[in-house]
Amino acid sequence: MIRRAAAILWLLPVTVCAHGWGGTNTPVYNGILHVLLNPSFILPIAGVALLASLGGREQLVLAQAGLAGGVAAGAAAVLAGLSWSGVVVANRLLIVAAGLLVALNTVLPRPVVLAVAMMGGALTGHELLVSEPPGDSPLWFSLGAVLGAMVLQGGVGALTLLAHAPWTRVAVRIAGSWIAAVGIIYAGFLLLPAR
Amino acid sequence: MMHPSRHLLVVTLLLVPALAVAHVQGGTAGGAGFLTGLLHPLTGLDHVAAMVAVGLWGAQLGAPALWALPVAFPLIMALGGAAGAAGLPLPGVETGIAASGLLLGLAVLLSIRVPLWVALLPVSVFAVYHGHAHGTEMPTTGQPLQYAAGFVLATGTLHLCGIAIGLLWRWPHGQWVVRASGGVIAGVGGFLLLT
Repeated sequence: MIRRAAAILWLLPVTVCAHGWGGTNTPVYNGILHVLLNPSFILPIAGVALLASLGGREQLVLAQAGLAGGVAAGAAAVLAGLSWSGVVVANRLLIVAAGLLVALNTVLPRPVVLAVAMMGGALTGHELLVSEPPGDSPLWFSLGAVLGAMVLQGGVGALTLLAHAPWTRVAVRIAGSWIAAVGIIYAGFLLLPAR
Repeated sequence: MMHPSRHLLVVTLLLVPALAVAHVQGGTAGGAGFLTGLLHPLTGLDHVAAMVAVGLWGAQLGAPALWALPVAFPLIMALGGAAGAAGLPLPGVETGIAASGLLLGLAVLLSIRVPLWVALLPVSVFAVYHGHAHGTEMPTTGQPLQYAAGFVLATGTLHLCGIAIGLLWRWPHGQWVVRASGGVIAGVGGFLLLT
């Protein structure tokens, strides 16, 4: 009995962080969750995913590649010391543009989808690294951000590809209008004179 | 020989952690801003009545108003929200919001059938008023984007509730339910206009 108790006592944790995502977790995990838990990153990625998926599976795959490359490039730019102060405004304007195009049920040509996905990825990676300093493991943090962005885009895109019924197509357009609406409000908040 | 239940008690006590941080959401999760925005349309009877009325009227009018109104409303509301967030004044906001409940409720009660562009006119004007009210109460510090996402989501959900009730229009008895809902909303709007 005493041996068993001693063994269990040895396993007793001092602090349990079962669902936390603070400093005790790996930088990859932090990178993933920073993308998946922040509307600043969720909205542009989801908007681009909806937009790409309106053009079919091939466009979504293209957008996945563009997004991954863009996030990596945007993060690399910050790590290389290149920082652009207009990244937040540009990211909000991308939310508005992507949401509006989805609300209007627009199918863009492939090169444009690739360019939009790359731009969205670059803005996301850049803003993420500027707003959330990753500490001493920026490469792993950036890798996590790329993974998080791809999972989010892939999930939203897959759901959109499955939307064949008329009401689900309407739901996609409504989702686009919601994304654009949030972007318009926040862009106005950033661009118009402050209270 | 220790009783098995005592074994269990000892083991359970040994496994109790000194500190548990399960599901801690610090940093960028943004619960407060999102929840504040989400609750703003839901906790005001004026907003609830008007948003549900938009959905009801859209369902009564049928396609394309059924989807065009919920798609257009958030986008136009966002313009008012951006103006409100930026501190641009809009006279008669409270009156406009109360009038929206009254007039949209009457449109449902009387089952007024108009072309889509005619339906969009009053709905757009009312959307600006509602958006301005939300935007005015937008936090200037903290998490404005989360707040915006919350109130757009809540507004859209109220529209969907209205549409869901409005789908009863297909059945004769359901038409009375829809009209009665419009009557209640008009009553609420009229009451708010007078008080």
